[in-house]
Order: sequence, then structure tokens, then C-alpha cells
Amino acid sequence: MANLEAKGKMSPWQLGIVITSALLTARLLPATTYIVISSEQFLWLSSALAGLLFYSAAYLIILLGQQFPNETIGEYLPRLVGKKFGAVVFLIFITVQLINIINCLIAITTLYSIFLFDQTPRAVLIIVLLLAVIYCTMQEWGTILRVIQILVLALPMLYGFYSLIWINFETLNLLPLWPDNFSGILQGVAYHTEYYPGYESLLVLLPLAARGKVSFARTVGWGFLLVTIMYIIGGIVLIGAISAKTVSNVSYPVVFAMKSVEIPGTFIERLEDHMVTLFLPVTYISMMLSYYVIGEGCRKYLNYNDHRPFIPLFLPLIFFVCAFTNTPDRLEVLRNFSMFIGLFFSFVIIPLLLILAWRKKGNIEQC
Amino acid sequence: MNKLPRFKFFKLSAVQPNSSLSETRQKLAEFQKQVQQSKAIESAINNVVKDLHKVPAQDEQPFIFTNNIEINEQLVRSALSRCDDITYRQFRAGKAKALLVYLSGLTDTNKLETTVIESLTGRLNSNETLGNINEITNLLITAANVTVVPKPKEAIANILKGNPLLLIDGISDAVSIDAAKYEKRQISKAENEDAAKGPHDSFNETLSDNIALVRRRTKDPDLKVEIFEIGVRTQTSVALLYVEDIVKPALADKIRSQLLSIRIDKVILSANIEEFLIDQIWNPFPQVLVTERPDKIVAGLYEGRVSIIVDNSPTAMLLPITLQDLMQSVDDYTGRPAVASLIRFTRYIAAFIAVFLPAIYVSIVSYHPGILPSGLSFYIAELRARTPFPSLLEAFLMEGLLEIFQEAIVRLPQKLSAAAGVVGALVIGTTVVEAGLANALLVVVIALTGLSAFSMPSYPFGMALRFFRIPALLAASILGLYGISVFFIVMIVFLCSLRTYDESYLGDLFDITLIEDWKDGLLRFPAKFLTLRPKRLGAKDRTKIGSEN
Repeated sequence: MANLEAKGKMSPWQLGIVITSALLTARLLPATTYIVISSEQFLWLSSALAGLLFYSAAYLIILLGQQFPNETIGEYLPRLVGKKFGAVVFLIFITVQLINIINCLIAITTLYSIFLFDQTPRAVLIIVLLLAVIYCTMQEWGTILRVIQILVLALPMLYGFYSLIWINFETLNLLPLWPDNFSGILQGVAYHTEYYPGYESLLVLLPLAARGKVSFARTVGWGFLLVTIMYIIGGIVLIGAISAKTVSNVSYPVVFAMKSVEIPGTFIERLEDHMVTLFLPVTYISMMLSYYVIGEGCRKYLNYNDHRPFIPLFLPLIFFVCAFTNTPDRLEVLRNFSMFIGLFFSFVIIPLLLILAWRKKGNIEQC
Repeated sequence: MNKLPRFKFFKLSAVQPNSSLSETRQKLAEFQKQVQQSKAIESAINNVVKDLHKVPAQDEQPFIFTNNIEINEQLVRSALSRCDDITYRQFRAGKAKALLVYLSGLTDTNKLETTVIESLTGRLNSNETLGNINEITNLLITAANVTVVPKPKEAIANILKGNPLLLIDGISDAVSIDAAKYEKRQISKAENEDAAKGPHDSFNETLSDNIALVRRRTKDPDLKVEIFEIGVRTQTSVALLYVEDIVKPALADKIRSQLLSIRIDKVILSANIEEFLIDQIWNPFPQVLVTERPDKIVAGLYEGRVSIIVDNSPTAMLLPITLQDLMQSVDDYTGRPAVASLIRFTRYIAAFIAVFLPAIYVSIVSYHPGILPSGLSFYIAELRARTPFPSLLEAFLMEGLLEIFQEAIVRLPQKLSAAAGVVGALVIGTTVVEAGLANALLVVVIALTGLSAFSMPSYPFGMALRFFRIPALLAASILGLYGISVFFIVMIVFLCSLRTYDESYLGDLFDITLIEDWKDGLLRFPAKFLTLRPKRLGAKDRTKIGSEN
């Protein structure tokens, strides 16, 4: 349509932007440490393999969506696996989205409280950001799409800042070039659930995209490729700047690397603070998108007219889990749980659903 | 109560015992004559009543015109009672009496004299009778525009507009003559939207002049001008302008129906209409472009927009609009495209500064002094040590002073405002700092903030930015840079959620589906690249004529 009256739809390229912007969040900051503990200086290789792996999961979701065009997961699940199993799978899907929001909230508020505040309780930061997320999620899809397209501009700015780490780059830190610990690299791939979150939103977002000349697999693929290249280059420059050993010993290696950047003769100092600020809009997109997907998914599943009634329902739960997860042990449990449920959903449930969908379709065609 | 005498029959000799027969006959004749006269009076009264009740007054009409000019005069006088500025001029048009009713000061009496009075008195002999109303309006009256008005309400409204009313004995219709003339401001230079190289003429308070200014710029028969009267009492003329073969389908219809549905007693300013056209009335951002420049209106009409011009307002409205429209000026199109693009980009930065700079100052000083280079950080700490207030209060104090001075300068006469500006600058710049109420850096911050708001091409948009400065300051004082970032995001969401006539308020700004509109948004491409009208406005004909080559 010529103007903006078509508020409920997006183009395939917009879908690509939405998914790309959902992938990069502040979750990657603490995750980098334990990925490097496993994959050492081959963080870039681990990220590349993870990109391939998670894109394949996204591709499976797109294939599943093609079996049920114009339907969200909540609508076709009962037909596909029955009401009871459908409810369980839908609950897992909602849990994956909730965990993304919770992890993002914890990551960004911890980041702020460590680097920009000294006394403000983290709960205050959480509730403020959560309310801002809810405000956006309460809007219609057209508005959310515009918000994403504007806030995504923070992504190149963030990467621009991050690229300043090249100043401290030393090739020696990358040696040896040939990996000898393949199992560690593969283990690091699993931890990349923190690097590639949010693509599961496709299960709800695909019906909102208008099918055109360009396939969804291609636009989403370009998004994954872009983010993966960013991670590969980012991984190389990070290890090159502060070495794998240092990365595995600090909590926020990216911020740590940024701290060591000095641009002599310029006014600008303490670039890590600016970078931390830019992480907020980037992470906000992912949180808001997951929250919208929860609301829209529930709306379709329960056959409601509006997604808004479901938005406030999850606020207490998210806030409670975020506030409760305030010790390293609890964080560890949450991290392991989110990794497990993310991988389980993407690489067990989605393929099974796809096989079921293919079989059912085959049966119908045979009939 | 007095009892009426009852008639009794007596012998004549008994009633008039002393009268002769001849005297009795004479008295009887006189009595018969009186009876005849009373019958004639009764008949005349009945005729008047018949005339009055011949056709019942229609709904909402105060009365109905009769054939009798004296009655008509009385009716008009009663409708316009205690209006001492109304003049009643009686004259003879041939055999018949005629009456002109007009508003002194709003009527061209010379024109009236030559086109009506001289025509009617000079062309007819004193014994000549007038023909029907068509003969009078078509042959006798020489005024350019003459209208027969059978309805009294319309006739009264015409008198109050300055158009004299002609009443003629024996004719039950009134004639309205276009002879309105009033004092008006000449077309002058735009006071608030001056352009360095663009045209300088601007709208005045007269609707016909304002429409003429638009018409003069285009000879397009598809430019339609519809005039309505809005305001139950003021009956203010409101013009709706659009280009029929360009405007988005149903947009003009929607705005027309909105205008016609306005039920208010008075329309004094164009803002009275504006508030009925927008949905989100509490939204501080302007959703209608108000301009005093006719060239802006014409440009907007040819992009597929609709314009509304209200009589007695020196501005016209353009709608629907987007944020980019408020950030563009005529000089963008008279200057070189590269320079114009840079200036546009600067305006966006200025808009950000206008809202967030004081907030950033407060957050850095209160929460994140470490974000600054060490030297600057120590310098600010030293400056801050001289003032007793916390940074938020200090910022509010300066912000309050800035607002007061802005208001004072806007309200004062031009000569005094310059003086007030100097006093303000001295007070803010030196006295406040010397008194230790605020530090010099904050003065710079606030001054830069004020200048940034003034640099907006749209004054209402600058006001909206001023409005959002306060919540931004509060967010910064509570949560520092985190608060500012969250507030910035919320503001983006708010702006994205705004709609004007189903269009996004942000227009094509960073919307990849409208990428072809980006040529004249944040940047300004050279004219030869702008071959299409903006997609965002949904124009019927998107091709700009003459630019396809």
C-alpha cells in the first residue's frame, strides 16, 4: 500500500531487520567469558559455527511456518500435536521468550549498575526498563516495527565504538592459528544461545510478514550472516586486543577491552561508558520483541482480539525472577536452564513439529 | 369588573324624546358612518394579520418577509434591535418605497450610491412602477454581485457581513448586494517565517486575499477551494483547499466532514478549528503545520495534502504532516542541496540538544562525572563547589529563568523586547553566576538549549521540545544516563505511535518501505532526483509533472 495505513504487515526485508536486531543483546557480554573458557582464542570459529547452527534452527522455523502460512504456533499446535501436547509446547515457547526477556534485563541492568552506578538498587533499574518495554509492547505492530527500525541504528553506532578496540590489536594473541581443542570449540557453540537469542519469534512473526519476491529464508539469512560476521570480527579483535586468557578471567571482557582503549590527543575518554549506553536500545529491541511475541502468541492461542491484555500479566513474574536472580549461583542456574531450554526447543521440538507437519501434509495429499 | 351594557330595544321617541326627526336621521347617519369606518379598520387589521400568517416562518427563521415594506422594516429592526451601527436608508424607486439596510463601516457607501440608489432613482420616473424581482436585479441594479435572499436569517447574516440589504415595497424578497468593504492589513513580509531567498509575501487576515495568494501561484483548475461557514454565532468563513487529482482519496472528504461537524459558537482563531481536527489533543507535538507562507501551502497541496484557511487568521493550516515537515524550511529549497542536507541534519541534532542537553548535564554532574575527561571533570567540580544548590535545582532555576525571559520577550513590543533581551542576557550571563546561584557551565548549557529550540523552523515544535525538557531533567536526576536513555526510548515509542490521518507522524524517517521518500526527508536531494511525490502521503498521481524527462 502506498501509505502507512497498512500497519499490521511488514515486508520480508523488514522481517530480516527485526530478527537481526533481536539477535544482538547485552546477553553476549557476560557470555563471552565462559565461551572463551571453552573455545579459547577460537571464539571467532565458535561464533561462526554457532551462526550456522542457529540459522539452521531459524530455517527450520521458516519451513514450519511455510506449512502453516498465516498462522502462528499457537494456532496450529493443537491441530498438529493435540490440545494437551500443544499446550505444553506452547508453554515451552512462552518460557523461551520469557527467559530471553529475563536474561536481557539481568544483563543490561547488571551492566549499568556495575559501570554507571554504584548505589542504585538493580530492582529499580529493572522495573523502569520493564515498564518502558511494556509501554512499547502495548502499541500496535506498526508502531513496534517503526521503533525497531529507529532503535536498530544504535547497532552500527555500537559496533563503531567497539571497533576502536582494533587500536590495541596484537596478532600474537591469536596464535596458534590451528585449533587443537575441537570439543572445546563445539562446547562454546552451545553457549552461543546467548549470542543468538530471539529468532524463535519467527514462529509468531511470520504471519505478520507479507510474502513477496524475496523469501523469508533469504532475508533472515542475511541478518544471521551480518550478525555472524560482526561476531567473528568482534571475536578476533577481542582476543587480539586482550588475549583469550584475560577474556576468560574477567566478567565483562568486551567492556574491559574497551576500557583499555585510549585515543591520545582527543577529548573522548572512558569509551566503555558510551558503549554501555548504546547497549540499552539494542537490548531493548530484543526484550520488546519477545514480549510482543508472548502477547501476540497468547492472543492467537486463546483467540482474543487484542494482545494487550496479556502484556501486564507477565510483569510480576519477570520482575520477580529478575530480582531473585541476584547471586552468581542463581545466575549460573538460570544460564544453564536457558541454554538447555533454548537448545531443546530449537533442535528437538521444532524438528519434531516439522516432521509431524510434513507427515500430516503427506497423508492429506495421499488421501 | 365592569359589566358590559346589555342591548335593549326601545322606541326612538323614548330614547330621544326631545329630538326632531331630522336630527335623529343625522345622528343615525353619523353612527352608520362610524360603523363603516370600524369595519374598514377591522379589514385592514385582518389583512395585516393575513400577510403575517400567509406563509408560516420556516424553522430557524426569525420571521418572514412580507409585501409591505414598513412591516419588513419593523421586522428587520426588531431582529437587529440595539445595533446602532446599522443604517436604514429610505428612498423612492419609481412609485414604490425602497429601503437599504447596511452596516456602517463595513459597507462601501460610494459603491452603494452608484450601483443601487442612482440606478433605481435615476432610471425610473416617480410614477413608474417596478417589475418583478428579476427585472430589478438583472436590469436595474448595476452592482457586480447581487443575490436574492428570501430567507431573513440569510439576509441578516449578509447585512452583518457588510453586504447591504435592499427591500422594496410590494416585493416579498430581499436583495443582498455585494458591497462589503472593510479596513484590512496589507499583504506584508512574513514575520515569523522569513526566508533568505524565497518569496516574502505572507498571508493577512482576509480570507479572499489569502486564497488569492494561493491562486496566484498556480493556474491549476484542479485546485479546489470550498468555503464553509463555521461557528454558530460568528459564522466565520473557512476555506478547504486541495488539488483534486492529487490528494489522497477520501482525505479531503474526511476533513470536509470533520469541518462540517464542528459545532461551536465562535471561531476567532485558526487554532479553534485545529483542535477539532486532531485526535490526540493532549499531545504536545503539533500535528498540523501552521504557516504564514503561501508558497509552503502550494508546495504542500502539490504533495497531496489539504489546506485550511480561516478568515481573520494570518496563517493557513496544512495537513496531514509528519515530523520532517516541521524540520524543513523554505531556505532548504533555495540553497544548495548538499548544504541544505547538512542544515537539516543539524536541526535534528539541535532538536536532541533542545530536549536532552540539560538532562545530560545533570546526569553527568550528579551520577557520572567519571565519563568526562579528568581535567574537565575537576574543572566542573570546582565550578559546582561555588554554588549551593544541587544540580537539579540549579538546572530548574536556570530553566525557569530562561522560560520567563522567553515569555517576556515574546509578549513585549519589539523595541522593548530587544532591551529585555539585553537585560536577560546580563542577568543570566553575569549576575546569576556572580551571585553563586548557578555555575557558568550551566549557563552555557541552558543558553545552547534555548538556542537549539529557537532554531526549529516550526515555533510550535520548538515549544513541544521545551515541554519535554522537564521530564527529561527529572529522568536524569533520578537515574542518570540510564534514565535519559529510557526516556529517549519512550519518546521514540511515543512519536512512533502518533498518527495524523492514518499516517505515521514520523513519516518516512528510517522506514525502509518508504525508502524512495528519503530523498527529501532527513536529506535534500537535488530537484532532478525528486521525480515522484512522497509515497507516505498516498497521492493519487505520484508523478511530478515535467520531471519525468
